[in-house]
Amino acid sequence: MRTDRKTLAGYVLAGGAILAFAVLLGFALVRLWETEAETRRSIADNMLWAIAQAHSAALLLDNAVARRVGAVPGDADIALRYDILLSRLTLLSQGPQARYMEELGFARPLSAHEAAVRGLEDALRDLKQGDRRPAVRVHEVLRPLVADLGRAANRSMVRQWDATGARRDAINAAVTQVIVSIVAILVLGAIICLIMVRALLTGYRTQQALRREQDMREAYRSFVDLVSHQFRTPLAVIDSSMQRILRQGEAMPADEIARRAGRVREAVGGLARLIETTLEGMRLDDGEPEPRKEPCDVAAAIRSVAARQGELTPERQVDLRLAADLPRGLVTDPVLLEQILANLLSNAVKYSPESEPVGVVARVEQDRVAISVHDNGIGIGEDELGLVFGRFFRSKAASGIPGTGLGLNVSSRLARLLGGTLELSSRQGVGSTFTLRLPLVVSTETDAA
Amino acid sequence: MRHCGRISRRGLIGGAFALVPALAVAGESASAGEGLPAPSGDPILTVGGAITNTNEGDEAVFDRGMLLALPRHSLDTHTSVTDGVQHFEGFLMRDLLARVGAEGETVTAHALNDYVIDIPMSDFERFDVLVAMTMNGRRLTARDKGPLWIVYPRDRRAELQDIRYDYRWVWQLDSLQVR
Repeated sequence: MRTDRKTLAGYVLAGGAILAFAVLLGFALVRLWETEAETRRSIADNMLWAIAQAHSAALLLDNAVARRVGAVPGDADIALRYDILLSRLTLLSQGPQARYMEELGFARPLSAHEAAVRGLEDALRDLKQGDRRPAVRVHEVLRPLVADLGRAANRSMVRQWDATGARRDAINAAVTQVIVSIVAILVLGAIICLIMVRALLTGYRTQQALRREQDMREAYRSFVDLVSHQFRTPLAVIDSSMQRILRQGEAMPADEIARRAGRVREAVGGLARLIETTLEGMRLDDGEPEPRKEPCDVAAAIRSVAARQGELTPERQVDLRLAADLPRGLVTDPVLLEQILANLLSNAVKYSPESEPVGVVARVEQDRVAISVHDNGIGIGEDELGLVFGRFFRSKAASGIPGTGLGLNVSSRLARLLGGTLELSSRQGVGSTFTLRLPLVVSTETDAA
Repeated sequence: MRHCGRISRRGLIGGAFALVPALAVAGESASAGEGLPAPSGDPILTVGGAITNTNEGDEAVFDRGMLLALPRHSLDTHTSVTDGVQHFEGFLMRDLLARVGAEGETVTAHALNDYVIDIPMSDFERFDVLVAMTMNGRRLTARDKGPLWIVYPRDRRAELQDIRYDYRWVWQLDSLQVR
């Protein structure tokens, strides 16, 4: 229920982030587009120039007329000046320019001025040197025009600067909004990435859990196989021996009873060992033990393991060849080390004929201590070499010999725990050699002592 | 409202007219203009600079009749100073420059109102730039934007709707210098 709610919250968060991402991106794009359009839109940028040019054309005409009348030498092409002034006034009374002058409040005075200027054509044609009257008339028409154009230019300037300022404000605001949006987009992008990475991790973990589950199921099936094969035989032996004793009762001679009891004990001992290894394997599954490392005399450990094996199988010969330079203070977990060695040794005894000796060779190799357990037994086929250390592995050649298929698996896992390796070289029908290699870390105190 | 006069080369018009007869005399022995007749009416456009076909000294001077003899073209377009679509008729700048054998990078256009603008020659190859003599069937005059107005096909090409092209629409055009 809680997980459901959490998953739902995750979906809502991810969906919300993606939606916000898209909305912000859209918003930023729209604002950018608007800003782009805004910079393209040309307000009457050049009106000040147009007004100033009309202003100057009026002054130049006035000036030319005065020169002509006063006989002052210089540029006095009055017809051209008049044409240019008219073209300027025409421009100001057309289309966008006319609307702009209307907004400035000068459209009406300007059209009156234009009519007055057009009325000057005859006066300009009749200009004569010394005749001041037409010149005064021209001046009286042009003077208020010049004054009005000056005021219009003034107002236009103020208006344009206001518009420029407002436009800059608008663009700045848009740019700020876009920057904020982009920052938010980056943050959202990061959140979406995080959500995706988390989803991937969860998927990975689920897959891992599934694989573990499959492993467990496999192990359980193997365990059931194991119980049915390995536990049934000794139980049958015990059952049949007991039945015999019960049935014959006192008729059975004492040495026969002792022989049967011995067989029962052997079967019970085998069962006990099976259970012990099974439990060991399960303990390792539950959580690997932390090795408790302390100085350990390697030769002594090997001798002690060999001695215990000798008690169990006194009829078997175990040859020890221990190098003289074996460390007496190897830093390792002695309990785990002895467990591995006991396992290898009991395997060697179990899977080789009674007539053949079993050997243990220990030596120092550079930065490792190598302990090999060797037997002349049934060996392991090439096709099975890679599987030996797997859980519940039983060699096809060993089907007649009781075993859990856990011993070597546990041993190799323990070897790894100690920072070492467990390797196998074997030939079917010739024998096997298991070699345990541990890092050569020597406690100086003990070795010096 | 963009191509209003600038008083940078004031007096050039008067000066140019004064110079014409002197140059005509000096240039008579050189080239009398390969196929370019002398103007019979009032000259309204003078082309100078890097040109090979001249008719007055080292300049090519056109009257209205000579300009009308160039291939006719028309163009319907908005302008930045009027409302609505205007119908222009005239000749292509490209044809005029070919007529005078112009070779150069830049054309400096000069207007009656002393407006001066440099136009890259490439404009006339890339666009059908018209020199308009009439607008909406009416002859352009110096009292409006005539007698000649450089008009770009603004409606046909989006890149021309830009203030950096608007200022090349020279009106009251009276002379060109090829460089």
